[in-house]
Amino acid sequence: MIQLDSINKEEAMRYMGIGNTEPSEIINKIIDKCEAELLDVIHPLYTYSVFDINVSDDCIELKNTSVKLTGNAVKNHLRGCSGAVLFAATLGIEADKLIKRKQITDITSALAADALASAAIEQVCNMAEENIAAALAPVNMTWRFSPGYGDLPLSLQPTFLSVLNAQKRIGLTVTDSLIMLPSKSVTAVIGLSDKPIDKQRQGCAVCNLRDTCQFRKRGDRCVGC
Amino acid sequence: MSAVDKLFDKKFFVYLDGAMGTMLQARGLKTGEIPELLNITSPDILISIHREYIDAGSDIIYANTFGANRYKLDGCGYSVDEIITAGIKNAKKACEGTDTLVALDIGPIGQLLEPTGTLAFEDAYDIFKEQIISGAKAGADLVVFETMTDLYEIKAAVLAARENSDLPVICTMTFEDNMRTFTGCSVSAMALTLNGLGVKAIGVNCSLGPKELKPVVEELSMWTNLPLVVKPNAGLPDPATGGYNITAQDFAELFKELVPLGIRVVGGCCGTSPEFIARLHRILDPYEAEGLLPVHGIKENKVIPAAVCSPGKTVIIDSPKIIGERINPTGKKLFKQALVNNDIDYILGQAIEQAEAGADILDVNVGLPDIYERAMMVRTVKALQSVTELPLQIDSTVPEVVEAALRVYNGKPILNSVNGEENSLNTILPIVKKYGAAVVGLTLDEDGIPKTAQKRFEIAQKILKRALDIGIPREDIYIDCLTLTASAEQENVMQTLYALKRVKDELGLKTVLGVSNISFGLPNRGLINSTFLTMAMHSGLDLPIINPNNSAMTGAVRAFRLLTNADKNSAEYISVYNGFKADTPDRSAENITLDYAIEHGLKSEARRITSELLKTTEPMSIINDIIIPALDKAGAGFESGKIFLPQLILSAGVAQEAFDVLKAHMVKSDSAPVNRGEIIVATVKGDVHDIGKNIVKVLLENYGYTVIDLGKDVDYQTVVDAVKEHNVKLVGLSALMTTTLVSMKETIELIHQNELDCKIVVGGAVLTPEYAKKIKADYYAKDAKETVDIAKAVFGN
Repeated sequence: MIQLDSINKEEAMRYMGIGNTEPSEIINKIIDKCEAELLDVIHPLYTYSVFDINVSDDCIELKNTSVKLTGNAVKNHLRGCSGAVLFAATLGIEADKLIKRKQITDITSALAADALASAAIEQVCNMAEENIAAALAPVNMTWRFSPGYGDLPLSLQPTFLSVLNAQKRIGLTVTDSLIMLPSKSVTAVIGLSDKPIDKQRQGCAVCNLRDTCQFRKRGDRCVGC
Repeated sequence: MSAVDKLFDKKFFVYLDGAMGTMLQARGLKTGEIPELLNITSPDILISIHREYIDAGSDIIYANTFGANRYKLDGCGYSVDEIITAGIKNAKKACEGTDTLVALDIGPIGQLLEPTGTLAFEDAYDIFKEQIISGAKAGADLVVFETMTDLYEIKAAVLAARENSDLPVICTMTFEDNMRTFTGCSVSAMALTLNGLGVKAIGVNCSLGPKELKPVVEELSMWTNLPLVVKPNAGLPDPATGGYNITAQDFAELFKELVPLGIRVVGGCCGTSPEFIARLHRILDPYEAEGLLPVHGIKENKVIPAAVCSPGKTVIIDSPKIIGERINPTGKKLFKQALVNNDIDYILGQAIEQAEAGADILDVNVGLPDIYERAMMVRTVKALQSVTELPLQIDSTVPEVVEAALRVYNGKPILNSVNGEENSLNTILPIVKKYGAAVVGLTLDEDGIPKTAQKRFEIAQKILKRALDIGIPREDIYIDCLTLTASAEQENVMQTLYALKRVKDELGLKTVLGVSNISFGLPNRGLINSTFLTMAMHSGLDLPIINPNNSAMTGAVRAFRLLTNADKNSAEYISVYNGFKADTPDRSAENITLDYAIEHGLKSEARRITSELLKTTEPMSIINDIIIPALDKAGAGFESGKIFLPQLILSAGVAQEAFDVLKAHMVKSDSAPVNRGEIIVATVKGDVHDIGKNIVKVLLENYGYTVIDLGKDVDYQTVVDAVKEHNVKLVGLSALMTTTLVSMKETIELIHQNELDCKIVVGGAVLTPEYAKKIKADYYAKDAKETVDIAKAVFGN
């Protein structure tokens, strides 16, 4: 379990579409209130498993599982790695419930809570990653690479969660349309290597959403790149 | 008597088995594969694992059917029936020549149920039903639901088992170290809900080891008299190695601490093996030999506190608790209109308002002559439970409405009401019993409301007897001695309170009273109401049904709780009233105008100013001359990048407040509300991200459009039906995921196939104008503001 003491509000404001200008006092108040409420209800959890990998021409296999990671992006991501961590984290269902409630009473608060929750799950992932690195030390780790990113298919999600036993371990499920629930959740594969790894992220170039990305339109970048 | 009943009669400790998955992986099963397929492809492996557990001393073994449901087996090449039949057969084969019983093992479906997820309660029921029928047919001795985290899912499961088989049912749920399941279900809510659903035993499995589960078992033991099941993991997992952290011997030793809590059914979950079951025998067998109860202080049957619950909130009725009365159309024009228009958000707003004002439980009454009460009640109960944790009191006397509502309620509700009439007792009490609800009994009968306390007391006695006879526990029977109107029957007012006191003191039942009727027809009603409320609480009233938004009434209850030492250290009272100032208007706000309030996001000021304006100005001119221009200004600012989305929707939210005031005024004066055109909005099938759609909705409503909101995860056909029914000219569809864009395409195709005369606007993060064109949408809107512009173009206004 991970304890969050505060949420990165600057990041949340970026998600809300607030540019570089100082938001009004009332918006700041809404954000502060939503932050406190979110921190009060969320129950962040993560889980992971460590696998040896088998690199073949068309995919990367996780040994002793039925998982095959396909596409060039993940191959680049795991280049030089001898193993991989499958990782999943979630803020839990209470974040969804809070956002839902806010949509009935005050849509601005709903937007703020939604953005804050997105920022919070990233923080949770970062903290979890540090814990994993400590547990597996000494080892070098790549950054997190998620299904749906680049050409790693989103359709991998159900198998991914099943291998991690994610519903049992952290209450994470995926719908037929491949939407994860609780919605503020992340899955990712992290490469492991004895040798130093170039942690360069691949950025917008491999992202499927680059054409519609609101961040890119503003000359900004999202958290994934 | 079933074999399971005999087993429970014969032995104090009943032994289950240990892990299946761990054993299968040790034999080479790859993770990610469907373990239930082995029932057919490798029966010998399963039979040998079962035998190991039988040899270790399991009285009940779980067949390898945990994930054998329609959803998880989809595409695997075998049917649910084939997999389950084979699974039970393997287990029975392993049991040959022993007394060991076989459980049909059923785990979570794997999809999250409504309201957070997309799987409907009724569909979950069908999925379980299919499993139960196969398992019973194949010869299972009992059904076990395990590793459940969603109270709603386990309720669907238990109903499916009880209604489609005679098999005894054991339920175990999985709790985390915060004493909640992943979906937020508390230990007390699990027990309160399952106690009444006719199961054989309840308990916990998985997630933690026996040491960490002790507080959970301790809590559970306070809330049930059913046999307690404990099936923990082999300690805590180490993800780096995939192993667990305690040995079989340590595991079994830890059970010694659980024995005084009254545990009876024991076994192991993840990471355990036959060795763990054998060690449990070694530790626990001596207790049985010694004769348990006197030696080890195991508690005898205890009294369960009177309480009702939702999954996340248990309300113990140990001091006056407020039942909010506002979800009720009687005498409320706006509410009636909302019901007729299916405007569920209005009802949800009423719920949240009462919750914030201090209600503990919400009464739900949606009875109106013109609407189909049963469907409306089901929809309302589900929707309310998606936004509030307060337990509900279902307010209806129509048996089919009562049954439908108690069925879909998630938790343990109150039913309001049964009364002393034979017909009511005969039809309502069996439904209450079946679903394990609490029930309000009204002290009236075929002859009406008796004038005297004595007669009402006698009716209460009759209701109590009939409820007990049918098996409803005493703590779940609440009596309403019925408030009369002081202006009409002043001489009988005290009879209500005399009866109430006797019901409380002599029958030991909880009491309910609708308070506000007392003052009907009198001036200064609030004074009479709060005085009567205080008198009633002093006579022993537990559940006042009041308007919690009335601060004098809610305050009286809080003060009473403080003065009777129920609110310990005045904690609740101080938290509510600390820093409390009597209502004084903010002077600086006096000069604010409505357009200033909209621009600066000042909600309460907007309400106040709008009310003021209505004294001198026509509603339509407030809309056209003030609100719309202010919104246009904000919209222009947004387009030019001067203000950002949050500020825009903040302004929209304030305008909505002003509209609410205007709407209430117009409904009161019977003038038609503003309507510049009807628009349907929906988040497409498969998609559950609806915040964007809801922002669009608020903005459209601001501009005077009537929005018919079909919600999220909306079937194609539902959209088409709604377009036909309301004959709308504009449909807005939203999708957030690349995976759900296809649903958007399908919806549009179906609209076109039906040759409906409407325009379609689409939006959502992953959408492009090109794709919108490709799927034959008429318009692409990049944001909420643009949707308004499109609506203006479509409707020519």
